Amino acid sequence: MRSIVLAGLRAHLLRLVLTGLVVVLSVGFTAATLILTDSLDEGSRRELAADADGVDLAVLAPEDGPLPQAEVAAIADVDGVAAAAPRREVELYTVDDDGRIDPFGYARLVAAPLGADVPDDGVLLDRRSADRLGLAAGDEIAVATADADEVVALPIAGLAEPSSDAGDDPELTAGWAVVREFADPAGATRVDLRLDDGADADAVRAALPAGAEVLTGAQLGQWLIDQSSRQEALRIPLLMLGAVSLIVAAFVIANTFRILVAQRTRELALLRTVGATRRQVLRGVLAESVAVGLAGSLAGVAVGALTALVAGSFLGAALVLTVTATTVAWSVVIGVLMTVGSALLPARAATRVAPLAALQAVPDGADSRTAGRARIVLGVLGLAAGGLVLVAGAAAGTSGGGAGLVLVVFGAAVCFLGLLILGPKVVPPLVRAIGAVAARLAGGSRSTAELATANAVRNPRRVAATTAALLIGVTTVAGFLTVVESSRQSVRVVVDGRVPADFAVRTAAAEPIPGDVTRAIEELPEIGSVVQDGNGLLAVNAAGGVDGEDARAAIVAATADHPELSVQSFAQRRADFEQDLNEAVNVVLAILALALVIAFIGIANTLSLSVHERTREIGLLRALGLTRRQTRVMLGVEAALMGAVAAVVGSAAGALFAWAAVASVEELEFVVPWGQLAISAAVATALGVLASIAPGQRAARTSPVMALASE
Amino acid sequence: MSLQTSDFPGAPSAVLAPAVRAVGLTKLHGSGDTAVRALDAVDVAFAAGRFTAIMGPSGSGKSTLVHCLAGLDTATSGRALLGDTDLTALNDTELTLLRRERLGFVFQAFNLLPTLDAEANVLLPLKLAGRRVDRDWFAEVVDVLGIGDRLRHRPSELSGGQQQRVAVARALINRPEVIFADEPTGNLDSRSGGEVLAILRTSVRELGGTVVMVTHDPVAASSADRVVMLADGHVAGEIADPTPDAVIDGLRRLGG
Repeated sequence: MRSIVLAGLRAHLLRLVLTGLVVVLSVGFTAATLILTDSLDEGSRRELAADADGVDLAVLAPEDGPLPQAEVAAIADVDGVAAAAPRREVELYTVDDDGRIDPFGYARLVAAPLGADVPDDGVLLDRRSADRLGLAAGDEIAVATADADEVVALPIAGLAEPSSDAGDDPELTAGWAVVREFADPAGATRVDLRLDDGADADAVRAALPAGAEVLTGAQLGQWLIDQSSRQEALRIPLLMLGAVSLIVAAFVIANTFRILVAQRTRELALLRTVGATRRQVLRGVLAESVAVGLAGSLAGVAVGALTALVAGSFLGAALVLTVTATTVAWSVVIGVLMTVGSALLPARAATRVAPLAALQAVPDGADSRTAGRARIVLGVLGLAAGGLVLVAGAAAGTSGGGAGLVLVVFGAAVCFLGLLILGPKVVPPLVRAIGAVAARLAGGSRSTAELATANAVRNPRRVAATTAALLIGVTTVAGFLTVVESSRQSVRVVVDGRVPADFAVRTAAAEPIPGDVTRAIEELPEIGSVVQDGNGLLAVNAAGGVDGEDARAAIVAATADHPELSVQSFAQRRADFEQDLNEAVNVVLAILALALVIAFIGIANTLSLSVHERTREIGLLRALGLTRRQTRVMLGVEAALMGAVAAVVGSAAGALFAWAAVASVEELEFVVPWGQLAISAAVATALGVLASIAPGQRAARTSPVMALASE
Repeated sequence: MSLQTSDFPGAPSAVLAPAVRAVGLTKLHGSGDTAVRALDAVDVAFAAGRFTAIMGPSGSGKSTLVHCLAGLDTATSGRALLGDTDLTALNDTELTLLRRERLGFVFQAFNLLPTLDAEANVLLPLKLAGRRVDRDWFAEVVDVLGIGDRLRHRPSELSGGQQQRVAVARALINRPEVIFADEPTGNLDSRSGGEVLAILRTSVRELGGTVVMVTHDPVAASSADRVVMLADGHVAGEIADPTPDAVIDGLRRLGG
């Protein structure tokens, strides 16, 4: 049987390569997630371990507060201590272009580790922030303390590599003399010590203040790693997004195997008639899927490692490529299970065909079966039950805390599953409906469009499965876009305050804006109205006919003594917020695009298999007068119809699920992003057309003589 | 309503004018030393308004000849003329348009699109050309072929004979200059086969069409006005007003 399996693999290599590619992409993303997070972990672990390099002893501050300066000094003075580096991290405010404290801008000030070369009178700024802010050594960076009472300009003595914790905020490294000025409450959270050569560590320990926890250098390294947060926050959402691709991939693979097996029914039947048992045939098909799954998964791990490296360089994080055995094992298990699971049902179906009947049949891809009664009942039940839970969740949300959202997610999943189960019943009529519209619009190509529609629905299960892959992708994208747009609207409300206005005057201080400042602003001739917003924010409108920037400058001038007050146009603040939001949205969309790409391969695969099995039919059409161009158009329309159905149903389902999710969260306000939904629908349809190009080319080359060849 | 012979162009006023002919038509399969000469400088003409059968042993080149004359396959050298049009000078799109506008086809098997019903299959060449359907002509053809009660059926719901009638109806629907039939009775029992041949003969005698049919069945060939014999890529003889015995006799002489 093994030789037959190998022969089968060779004969169907191209189709299997496409299937393998789907495994590579979907497993690749999961592997990339695991490898990236592991590599980030490993990177920060090395960095933390390096932080403990050269530390002989470390004194930790007690839980109730930092070590005061007197104690820090005492520790440094202990006999046998060669050098002491008090450690502390302080959060500061950044300062905007007006020199005012930005209540939304933060910077980290970090006390330098032992042996670091830091000047006493300045700070080191991380390179990434220096590039972004256009600062260099010799410039100053303005910051403010956490209590926002004064703005301090710190001289930049040099630039440093950002740490893995740096994020997007400026990271300042400085000597203890600088950092202690900003620490509130004052003192160090830790003091790292280097001992004199030959000093007795025990003697030093004994001389240290009683009650303080003291670690060796090695213990400190471990302690730092234990304290550090692993990349779970990144890993879980990424894996969830990756799951979308895996589900789409499972549909594509199952569909491919179903078509492959259908086309090979005769071949398999021949094996049966010459003596292969049902089990042997089943094992043969499964062995083929194991081979594809295994090869695809391993390639996926390699692709994942590359992706992780590229993504890591974009994140700009210190990353040490780490491919653990666990990662490889998970990837292979997921890839092989997905492939074999997808091939199992088609393989069973293939072995159930009576050998003689199968030998006589000419496969032409036609299979009018839609759905059995059990399937319909199950689908309708899923749709109804899911819908009910969804609505219940949406209704409960505003009253019942977070439970509503959980109900909505669960309901949406069940509802969608019902929709997929009903696919063979639901998709063909939709294809026909859209096909009829397309035919009407097609004018001269009307008959081509009609042929395409008839082709698309000839096998309801196949068209449903092909569409399902794209449907999952479009639904996810549409749902995500709608939730984002709704959140964006809600963020606008929060940022803008309840009162629409031109400017917001905010304070970074704990105290409200003083009344005399408010009055001073009100009395400015450039100012029309001033309203106290509930959030301790002044909503200010310029007087009629006054240029916005002039009015803003007037407020800045009038509040010159108050660095804690920032004056910003709402438009600017909104733009800043939306830029941040858009960056996050684009990352998620890029990941979801992977699912669309996999669905795209699925359509291309289905079409090329269909062209293969319809060779004679296409030859006949060519003989009867279908031009090459018409052949390509026919395939294009067939693919576009599948894309369009996925686009329409997916957008509707995504928007519905998003509505329920938004309704279950009190702060959010439902908004339908019509434009974006239209774009995502157009992309889905275009993907279909794109997928038809290669198969269409092959179909167009079909010789009409093929139709005349009798067998 | 009676059928007018003028329904078909090229017939029958000049009965002896060739509707289609081959001039020095040569077709090589493969290349170099392994090349097979399927057609070797064949000169033959098929008169308009006549029913001609092409016969010959397997590998004689009879199917290749028809494929080249029908613009389905390209010749290596020589000319294939449909009326005054040299098919060998046309590109793929021009050949395709010529097929759907000026020719009709009946194949041995797999003549119909499984996704379309009988009526849609009959009208397919017109639809592909974006041409208007002449409903009177359609009714006429359907009536002659006796498929009026089968128009809504899919091919899978039709018998082999019924499928071939639909195929003949489709070949007639665009009033072609020539209908090419490649073993049209090959897959049928003798009764259905006889019916299809009768219909082809009717379309020549009464509708004024021109039919060129490839067959290996002497009885089928005897339905024609004339039989052209092919052997080894050459025209090996012909029989006018053939009887089955004459055809069998002719074939035997080819073999001997």
